[in-house]
Amino acid sequence: MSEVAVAGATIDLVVFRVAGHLFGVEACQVRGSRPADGNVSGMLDAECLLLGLPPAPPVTTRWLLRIKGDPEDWELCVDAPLELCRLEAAAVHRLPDLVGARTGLRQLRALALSGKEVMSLVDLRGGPVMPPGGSVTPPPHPA
Amino acid sequence: MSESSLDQILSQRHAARKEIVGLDDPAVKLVIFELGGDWFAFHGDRIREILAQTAVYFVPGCPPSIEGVINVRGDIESVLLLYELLRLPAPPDSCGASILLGQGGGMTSGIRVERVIDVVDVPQNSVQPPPSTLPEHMRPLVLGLLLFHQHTVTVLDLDRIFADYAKEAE
Repeated sequence: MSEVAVAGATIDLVVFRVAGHLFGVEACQVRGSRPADGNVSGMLDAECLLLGLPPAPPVTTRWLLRIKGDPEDWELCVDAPLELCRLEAAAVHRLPDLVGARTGLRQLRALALSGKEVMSLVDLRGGPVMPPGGSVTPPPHPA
Repeated sequence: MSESSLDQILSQRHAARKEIVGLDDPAVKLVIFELGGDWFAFHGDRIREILAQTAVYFVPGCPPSIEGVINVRGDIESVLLLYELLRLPAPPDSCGASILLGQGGGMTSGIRVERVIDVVDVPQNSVQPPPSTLPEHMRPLVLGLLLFHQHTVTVLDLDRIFADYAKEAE
């Protein structure tokens, strides 16, 4: 492995899915969560924020993540399952050079190997900043 | 022996002689591949590995020219599609069989190719400078041209491709 990780270091993440794709955010950025009991109007949809897609009818149970904000907290609507997990630092990778240079998703900070999937690690401290329209690839339907 | 046969033999001898590589001629290793129906090559010292049947994972926020990322024995690398950069017709779906793991300009990335044709050592002087008729968008990216198995092979500058691609966002 070419990246040097601090021996024994771990990171606590809140892991969720958006349109089938795996995302993680540092647990310290999340104040709490609650089930999105049907009415999610006024909440920011993660499909818009993280995938640049228009909101779609939910196909799974949805959750509202309450993200710590400055000055105000905000809520992000994500797909279940919502999990808290501890990841070893060795599993976290900086963005590949070309992805780092060309990503249109400013929240994307790193990638992590999680089983047979790649998890996108996002930093939501900057607030709900939408990606520029039309500049990103629509996600494929996950297998 | 008919004259035509003799002509053929002499012609073959002449062709064979042309293929003999002089020991004093410096050679260059090329990885030759097919993309959009054309043949291209990178210098062998820029290609770390040729990967086949590798799962590519979608990464949100990337432009269409980045197919995704791959797991190369625990390291995560991007996969670049060159169709847009080289202005080649892209296939309807990503059907390339191989990924070249390239290193250039201080960066590393996979490059999707449709077919790896060969990895060969050729005399350096068989790579001709790019002609002035080369399309404008290709000029900075091309190191030279080579005739290989009756195909024109465009030798690409991987350092420049990676650097220009990363810079496009600025």
